[in-house]
Amino acid sequence: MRVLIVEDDDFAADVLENALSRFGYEVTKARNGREALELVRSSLYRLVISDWEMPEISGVDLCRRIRAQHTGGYVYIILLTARRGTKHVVEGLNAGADDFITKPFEPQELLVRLRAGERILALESRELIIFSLAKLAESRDPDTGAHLERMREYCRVLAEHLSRQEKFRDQVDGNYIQLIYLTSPLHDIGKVGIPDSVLLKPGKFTPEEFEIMKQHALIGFQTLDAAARTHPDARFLLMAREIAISHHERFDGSGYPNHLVGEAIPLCSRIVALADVYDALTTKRIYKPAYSHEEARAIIFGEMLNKFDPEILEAFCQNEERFMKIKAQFTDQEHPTGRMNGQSQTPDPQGNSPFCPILTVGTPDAPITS
Amino acid sequence: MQETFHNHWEGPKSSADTPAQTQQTEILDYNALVDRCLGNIELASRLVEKLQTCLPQEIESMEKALSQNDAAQLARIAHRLKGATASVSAQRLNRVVEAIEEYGKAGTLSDIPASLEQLHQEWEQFRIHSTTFLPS
Ligand SMILES: [Fe+2]
Repeated sequence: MRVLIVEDDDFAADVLENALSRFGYEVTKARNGREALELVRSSLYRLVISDWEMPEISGVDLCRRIRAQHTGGYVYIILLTARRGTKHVVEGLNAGADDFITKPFEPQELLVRLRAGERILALESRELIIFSLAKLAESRDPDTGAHLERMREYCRVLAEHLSRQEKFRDQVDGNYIQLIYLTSPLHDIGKVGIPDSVLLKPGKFTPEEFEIMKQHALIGFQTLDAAARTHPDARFLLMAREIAISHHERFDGSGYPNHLVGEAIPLCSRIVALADVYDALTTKRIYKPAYSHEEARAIIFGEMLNKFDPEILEAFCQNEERFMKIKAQFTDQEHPTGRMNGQSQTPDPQGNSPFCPILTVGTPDAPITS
Repeated sequence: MQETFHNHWEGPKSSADTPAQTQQTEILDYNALVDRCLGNIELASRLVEKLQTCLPQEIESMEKALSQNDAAQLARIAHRLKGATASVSAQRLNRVVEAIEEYGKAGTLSDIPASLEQLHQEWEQFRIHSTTFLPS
């Protein structure tokens, strides 16, 4: 792995270079912040060790500028400092530094810190891979656009709210929030197993087609279950598996595939259920227009009221502004015009909409025979 | 290896160090330097030589800065030397330049002549002591 050293002191730079090369890193040295910024722009460096006190651009300034650049992946930054004390550390953290080493450093300590950095970077790569897979699974469905981006944001907002409630405090912590953000995009991964003739059908589903569509929950579960069995320590796979199988379960027991009722439905799936439905309601699909936030809200608190966990509905109520902001932030590109022609432009409370989240609109998830 | 053996069977070495030895490691802790270089003796020697070469020039620059009442420049040079002497494990030199950096930053130039005098003495000690570690 490549490491960029930013150090104006040749002595420290030589010692660092020697230690890092011995630890097996590929080292590049920059003598100041300007050189470092140029090199970071190349996207070749994910690990940067920078001195704190340097003329012109200090280590803290460098951190800020790297964070502002938004190049490629995350850059892990370790600051070298001769000073101690929390005030100092806080300044570094605020600027975006990930870790600190006091000078003169102990080589073994340096190695431990670098390994920690590598682990973080590997995690980030893993998150990217997971999200890419989820996007790939969605790519056959041209309607969904930034669905996954919004969904995971909605899930995070709901989970954050729950984490502050007495009832959920033990279950929903920072880790849980991170985990649901990471795994919620995988909810529909089982759609890869649904034939185009069903998945992309613009009209209403026949009962047979609906049965096929319902399979996506089980297919997703089986896919993730196979992975979870070989990696039992990977918590994200366990949560992803739960979400895949039960994100269409409904609080009143009207969902599928297992007709679970109330808190028998895993919390993560209850969260995803609302996020998924809200997004389907507020975005344009081949079979429906995009409803406004108010219209969506009216449907959720109208005919769908019993389908969701009241605690999660409360979390939604308390965070409506954030939902609207997220919706505005990740707007889908407009589809070519004309697609909606001839289709209903108003909410259809009878649940005559073919795609999954909307299936729960209105009465039972029983399919509609046209 | 031998050191670990010694440490495990005979106890930590430092307890057996004479006061004179302790003082010498404060001038230059060569073992600490070699450890920091992960056993790369060639690098350790190069760093000692580099400090030997640059120190007289830097002292000269500091004296010049003092004569021009340039406290900021004094602090800058002292800061550079602080890093260099810390890397080399020249503790006594490090303490003097750290003091000069502080005086420079605070702008209390009156304290600096005494420190510079002390720096000359420490430098002399370092030059003599460190040369014993360099390949002849
Ligand atoms: Fe689904």
